[in-house]
Amino acid sequence: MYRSLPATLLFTLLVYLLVTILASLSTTALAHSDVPFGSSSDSSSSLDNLLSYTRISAGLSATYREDTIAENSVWQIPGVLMGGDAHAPEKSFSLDDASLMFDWKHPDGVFAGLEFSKHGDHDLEMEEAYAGLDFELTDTLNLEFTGGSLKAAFSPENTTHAYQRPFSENDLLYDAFYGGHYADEGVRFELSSGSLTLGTEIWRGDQFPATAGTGGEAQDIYLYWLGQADTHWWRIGGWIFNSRGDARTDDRLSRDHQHGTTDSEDAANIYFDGAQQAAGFHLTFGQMLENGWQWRISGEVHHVRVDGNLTDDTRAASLEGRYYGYWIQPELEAGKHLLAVRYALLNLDNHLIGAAGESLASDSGLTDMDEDPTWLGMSYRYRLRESLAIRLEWTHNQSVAADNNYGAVGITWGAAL
Amino acid sequence: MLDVSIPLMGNLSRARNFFLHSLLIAVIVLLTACGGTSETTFDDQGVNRTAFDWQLPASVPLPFEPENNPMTEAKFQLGRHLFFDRRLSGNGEQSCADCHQQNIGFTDGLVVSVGSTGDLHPRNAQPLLNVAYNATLTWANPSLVTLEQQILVPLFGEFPVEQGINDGNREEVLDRLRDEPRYQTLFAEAYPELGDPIDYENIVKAIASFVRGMVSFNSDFDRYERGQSSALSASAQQGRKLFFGEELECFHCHGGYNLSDSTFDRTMTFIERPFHNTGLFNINGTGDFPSNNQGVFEITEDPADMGKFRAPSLRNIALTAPYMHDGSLVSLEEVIDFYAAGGRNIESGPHAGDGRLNPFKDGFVTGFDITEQEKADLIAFLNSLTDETFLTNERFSDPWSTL
Repeated sequence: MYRSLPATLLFTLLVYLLVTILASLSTTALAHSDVPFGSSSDSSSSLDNLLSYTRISAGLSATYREDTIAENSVWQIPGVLMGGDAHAPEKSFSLDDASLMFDWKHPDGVFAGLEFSKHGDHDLEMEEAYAGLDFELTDTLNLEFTGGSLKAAFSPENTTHAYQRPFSENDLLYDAFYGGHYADEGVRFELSSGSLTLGTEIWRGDQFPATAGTGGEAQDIYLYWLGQADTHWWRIGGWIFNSRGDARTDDRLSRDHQHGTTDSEDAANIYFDGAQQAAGFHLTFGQMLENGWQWRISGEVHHVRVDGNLTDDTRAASLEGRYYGYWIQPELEAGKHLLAVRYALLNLDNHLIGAAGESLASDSGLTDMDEDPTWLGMSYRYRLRESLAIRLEWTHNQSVAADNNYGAVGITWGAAL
Repeated sequence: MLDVSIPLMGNLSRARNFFLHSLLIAVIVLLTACGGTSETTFDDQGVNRTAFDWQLPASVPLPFEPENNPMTEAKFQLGRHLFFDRRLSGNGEQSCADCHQQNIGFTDGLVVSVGSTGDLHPRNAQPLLNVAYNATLTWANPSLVTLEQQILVPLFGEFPVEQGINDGNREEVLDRLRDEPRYQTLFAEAYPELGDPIDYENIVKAIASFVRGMVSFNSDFDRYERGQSSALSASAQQGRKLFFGEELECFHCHGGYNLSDSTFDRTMTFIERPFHNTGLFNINGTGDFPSNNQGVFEITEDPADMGKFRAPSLRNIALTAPYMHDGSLVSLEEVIDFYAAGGRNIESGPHAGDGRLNPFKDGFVTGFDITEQEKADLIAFLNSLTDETFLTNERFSDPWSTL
């Protein structure tokens, strides 16, 4: 009922076909971690195979924000079930995130990593703890196996920190569909050949939108083409993410549960049983200009399908959610200056069937707000030093009915120690 | 070779760049071209169909209507006349409204009610409002789940006698109604498909329709919950926090839109019918309640059900003193003190025993510390649950008084 295997296979085939065609046009390849503008700390480059290293790196982002949305309540984008670490940005001065990372790799291909992170005023957590093996299957084919606690690699956007990207706020689409970001215990198999990377991840399902144990699960598969030619470079790819939740609640409400109103009590007791299937397409395209200037544009399109049941102690309804969203981000960088704009939009269609459909939708935040939730931001970053920068931002946040405009100023720091 | 490969490589590079630029433009166009606004739609599968104007706020779900007695305005109006009519009793001296008076929230203000022949009811009369949402009717009967069942009790009950209709007078009572010209019209309008509709089945259905239609969601509390922040005073807002807080635990049994955990409406698939022992008695330390008032135990004879009663809605609670199933607490202050103590200790007399230690007491009645200010705030909140419009609404008033 919840799986659409033909659609999944078709999407996989299309992505594979697309990348194969594009790859045939490529003459020069970039390793995964060699993206000039990249933020990924992925350790899977073929170059890395030849090296051993021990690295310690750290970064942080702190921002003073003059306003926010959902200041005294849990943030709820109208039209989508939320959870995980999808928190509204905090008003006034706050730590967006801070992380400390350890990476180690042996010449024979064994590697391990550890990352501690702190987001906002939430507790320090171990975000990643993994070990793996990287080896060449043939002269042109490399296989990497990683297991442990990982950030999902189906999109580079899922792995970035606030100090690595132009904006202090998280991506609206990831807050809506992946609980901020997807990080879980699981295994990853990644096959790379030149500019192509094909990977799959199998998760315990212990993170939103999945649940662990009986009835819960998550998997994804992704394919990327990373290339460079002349003054251009690009990363093009896509993914399919499948998850199932069993008696899933909005764990943000469970953690911060208060009986301030009768509604919050209702919302915390609503369970979702069912599947969330997502497919996405990622594109980053950049060009070096004269005088050291460069421009780039990146973006993603997400399609999400949710099928399942909503229940509480007394009510039940079935839910069909058909969601679509995109974000697009042009950037211009000149020396120490970086100017970026991001626009994100969610289109959230829900259909609830059953006597309690309307009341459960109201209590769980699925009632629409008569327009698409959107997020528009502009960012200017000035690098004081190689590792230290100040950032000015302006945001028009219309992810809830009461839209909000606010400015922010912050610092970012990231360095190898 | 060189002469050939360089132009070829140049052509490939131009083709690739052209392809990538085209792809980029296509993606941007696709993104911005997608139309349609987010929308949440519903299919209630017909469950919210009704022929009756419930006059409810949009945020409140419709109550259940029995298939064999769907709501109509004609039945509601007939039921209203019967509810206020003393002729609908064995001796012609008591109507439903004698124990359920509109100006005090459709209760009677007595410790326990008095029947038409002078019998004392063992229990305090419950207020009538939003009864349509009750998962069970009366204080402690899990099997009474419809108003059509419940109304038979005051009309025909013998222990105690309430309205006192019995085999000896039932035809006489019907004749009184048949002699009333207004009933000829009202019954005909309510049951147009029947030739001679004046009978007890139709009387019960009409009264049930009237009582079911007595809905109230217009208190200061309701207006506050609907977003009118000035509807509650600062003190009442503090009291509201206490009420819904984990310290006092009130909301566990008196939560939800009807302020009772025994609530049922059309949106519900799974019905909960809870009953609670609040520690009012613990006769001789055995957990016993007085023999004439033992709660659900009287129906089930299960010792664990001793002293269990339904948590009533707290709407209009400020009007409906005295409180508890036996009317033994005279004021809201006493009720708060009772729950703060975690039960009642009766030191002497036939009911002596420490209710705080009742082995069947509900887990949420554990006692709490509360200051005088907090008590005043809590009472301010409880006062905000009064729907003043309900007390004077002509729709629920005595239709005979206008004659």
